[in-house]
Amino acid sequence: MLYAVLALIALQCLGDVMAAVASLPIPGMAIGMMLLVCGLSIRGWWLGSQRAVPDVLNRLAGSLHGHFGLLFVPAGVGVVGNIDRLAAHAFALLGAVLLSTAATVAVSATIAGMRSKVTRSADSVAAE
Amino acid sequence: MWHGPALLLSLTLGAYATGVVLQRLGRQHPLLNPTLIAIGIVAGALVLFRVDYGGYFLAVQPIHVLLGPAVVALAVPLYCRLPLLRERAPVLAIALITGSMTAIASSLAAGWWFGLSRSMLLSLAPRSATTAVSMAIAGQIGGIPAITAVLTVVTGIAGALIGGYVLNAIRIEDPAARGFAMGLAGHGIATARAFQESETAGTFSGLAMALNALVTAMLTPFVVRLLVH
Repeated sequence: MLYAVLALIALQCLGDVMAAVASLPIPGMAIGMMLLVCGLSIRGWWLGSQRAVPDVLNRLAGSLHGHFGLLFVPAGVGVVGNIDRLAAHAFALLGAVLLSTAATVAVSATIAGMRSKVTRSADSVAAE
Repeated sequence: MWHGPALLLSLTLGAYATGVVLQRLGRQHPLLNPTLIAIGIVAGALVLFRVDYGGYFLAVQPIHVLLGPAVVALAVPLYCRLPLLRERAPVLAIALITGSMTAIASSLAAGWWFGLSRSMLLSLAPRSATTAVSMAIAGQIGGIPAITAVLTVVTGIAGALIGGYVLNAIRIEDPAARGFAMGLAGHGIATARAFQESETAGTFSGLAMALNALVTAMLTPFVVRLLVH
């Protein structure tokens, strides 16, 4: 468990370092996430079984994600200092969020739902 | 004593637990979001007892610093779902990038149309990515992370509440596409809602959430540079 925790934090640090060195405005945690995906992929290929995530890492991830919402509270409370701005622009912010979210859902779903004619005819050939 | 870590940590944990219980009592309704409820309770307590935010934030660092490892750990469910990508990879890749750009650009456009200030626009821009990442992006591009945090949670709730209606309106029935769109637009909160629709929708939603965190992180600085002066 200790090593799993260390691995996650170390990957975040590595991500921060890589972002700093390459002057990328990307949070280190996001880079660290990709590094871990690569690491798991390499490990899976090396061990010959595609989906073998180390059990301890699996459990740690489950614990962290089970209460993801808790982790945002300290930073979110910072809104206290900005409550006047939030209140003043509440209608505008809410409107922007609703419109933009609707647009994003619509665009993403439309493209994600597209299947190329090749796949479709291959499916129907296989079904015969 | 009012600045003591033990007390403030207990306050934070207790507030969140209260939020969880309330949502459970309300049959998992997205509007009863434990994070928002906890923020409300803690913020109220800080104001009531005149505890300054700086002292509070320092005291609850043990919770806050877990954000980084938690995001890195998103690699685990993402890795497990990679095989799902294989068949639809090209289409999903395009959906991911286009969807992410739509989220950023439409946030800026809608915010501008409603007359919001520059710092508000910058706080809005990354809000489709999971909160930890969107806050970090906001900090880097000149937005206000605390505001982004709240906006991101509101976005998740919005995605959970209206996502289904939008998808029905445009006649998208494919569960994978529905899930993917919800996870991209409304991250974790919308993913929970997608799982209520179906296992497939929920799984693709989680996939989109993790991928969008990275893509939004990469795209936001560029889109903002293009559209915001």
